Amino acid sequence: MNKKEKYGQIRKEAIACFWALLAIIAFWAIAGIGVSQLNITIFHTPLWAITGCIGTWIFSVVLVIWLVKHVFKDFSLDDEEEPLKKEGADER
Amino acid sequence: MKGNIAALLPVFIFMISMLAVSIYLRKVNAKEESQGFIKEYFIGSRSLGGFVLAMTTVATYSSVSSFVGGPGQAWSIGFGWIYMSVVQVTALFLVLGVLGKKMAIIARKIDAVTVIDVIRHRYQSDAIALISAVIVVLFFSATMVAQFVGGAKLFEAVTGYSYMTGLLVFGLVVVLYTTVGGFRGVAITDTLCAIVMLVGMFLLMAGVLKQGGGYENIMEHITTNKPEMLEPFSGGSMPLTLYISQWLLVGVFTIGLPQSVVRNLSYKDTKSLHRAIIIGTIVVGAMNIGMNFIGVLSQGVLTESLDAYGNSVDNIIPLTIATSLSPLLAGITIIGPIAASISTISSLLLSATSSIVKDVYLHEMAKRGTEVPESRAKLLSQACNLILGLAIFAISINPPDVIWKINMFAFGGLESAFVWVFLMGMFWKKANRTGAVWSMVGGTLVYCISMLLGFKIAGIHQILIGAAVSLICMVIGSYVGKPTDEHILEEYF
Repeated sequence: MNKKEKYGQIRKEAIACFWALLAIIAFWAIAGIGVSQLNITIFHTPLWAITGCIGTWIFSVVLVIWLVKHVFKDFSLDDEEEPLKKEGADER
Repeated sequence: MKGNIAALLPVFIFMISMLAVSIYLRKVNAKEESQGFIKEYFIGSRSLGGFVLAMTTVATYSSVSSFVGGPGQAWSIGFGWIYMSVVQVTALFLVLGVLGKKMAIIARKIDAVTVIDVIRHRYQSDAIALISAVIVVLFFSATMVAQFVGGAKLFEAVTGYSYMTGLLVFGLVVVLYTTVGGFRGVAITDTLCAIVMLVGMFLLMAGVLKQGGGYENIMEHITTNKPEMLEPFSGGSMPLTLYISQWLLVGVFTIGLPQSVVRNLSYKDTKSLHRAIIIGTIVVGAMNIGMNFIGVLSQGVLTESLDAYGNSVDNIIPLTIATSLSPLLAGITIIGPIAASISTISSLLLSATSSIVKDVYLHEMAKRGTEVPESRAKLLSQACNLILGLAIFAISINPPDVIWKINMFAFGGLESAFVWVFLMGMFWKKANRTGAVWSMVGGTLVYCISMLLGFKIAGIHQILIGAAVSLICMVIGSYVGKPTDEHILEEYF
């Protein structure tokens, strides 16, 4: 990947994170406050507490794994266009 | 209450092992120092793998309040508090996923060691670097004092030894091991801290369940006596505005916290980053849900009203530990919250030192064309870290009121100052020096003033005002000011 492609990919990943954030907020609201309207209790625990807390956590983990597997890409963090370049803040 | 040696010993042994680990790491990695001491000391020569990156980010982020104050609130509020704390699962993937790769590439290009190096280069401004350094040192110092005090108070309450003993046992050692170990030491000890936090959490959960007569029993007690604890709004104690506030303050805007962002300069490769995002999200969720769940379950152990427990929710977790576990187990369990406190202190201390030594002193010397020999940089870095650490330690013995004020402002103040400077700097070409300075100064000032006055919009925490003003300043400033040089922008876009 050259610099342009890398930066394009980074932008894509950042935007994907933003959508993931929105998805988690929506899931959190529905699985918590939404489900609480149903007034269901299982194992002496209100259902909304299970779906809203543990549910949101699992949803986030699954979403993050999906992001990493399908949106995020591996590439070198060093400059490949100028392989001989040494460190230093004084380029060009 | 008299001190019990069985409760003191585990913390003592743990702290000594932290020190030993740091000394060992320093020895083993001595050859890395020859590649550049500053880079090794402040950023671990960019070598962190995924697991350590995840754990050090989580541990820095989880403070003593995640283990004491927060769960204490959960005791009083109920499940709503867990529901609120779970918003923190977004923290890791935002800071690592959005800023991670860009910052890492730039840092390698310009040889940046601190986030302020990156800010200085992106905006080509010494002024903004200096303002950043002042904000970082001020807010970090106040936060460190709060962590010291929180840890020592907990120690006092659980072990029966004095506040001062607690402060000496873990406070001095954390300063020492941070000074010796540098960033690599901090990262590895943070990782160990995160692990003992989880262990402490499971021990305490088992203890509480047993002491409360089992889960069913505890839940029946809550259903009969405090049914509002089973509602998301907790009978009005958890209004929607509080949820929105927390989403902003401990969720979304944590992307701007410099102590988290700096981790983006320290990891090895994209594989490590990807792993860290997954592991970090799992651990941060487990910790927040677990600890606050313990808080709720403590209702089964501490069944009276808050008056009976000194009228402060901060007393709930120490009392729960003391009543539901034997002295030895209690001693092991409090390593968890102590670890949460020291892992935050170590990272903040090192970051503050890097701001003083690297961002202010070494930069000034370079500008004057004065060469600073490696040995001098080495001595200065460690001396500065030690002195700053000891100063914070001394303040923590009897902190003045002003420290509490600053600490209250620290979290949101850092977010208001840095969030757009980082985000827009990395993703918006037009962002320039004027925008960045206005954003940082305007956002922080307006945030602090609105906090002082208690002024809120729509009942939502002042972070909304701080972040909004900061964004507006960034946009207007960037249109008003001179555009950034093309050859600088070329590195970023």
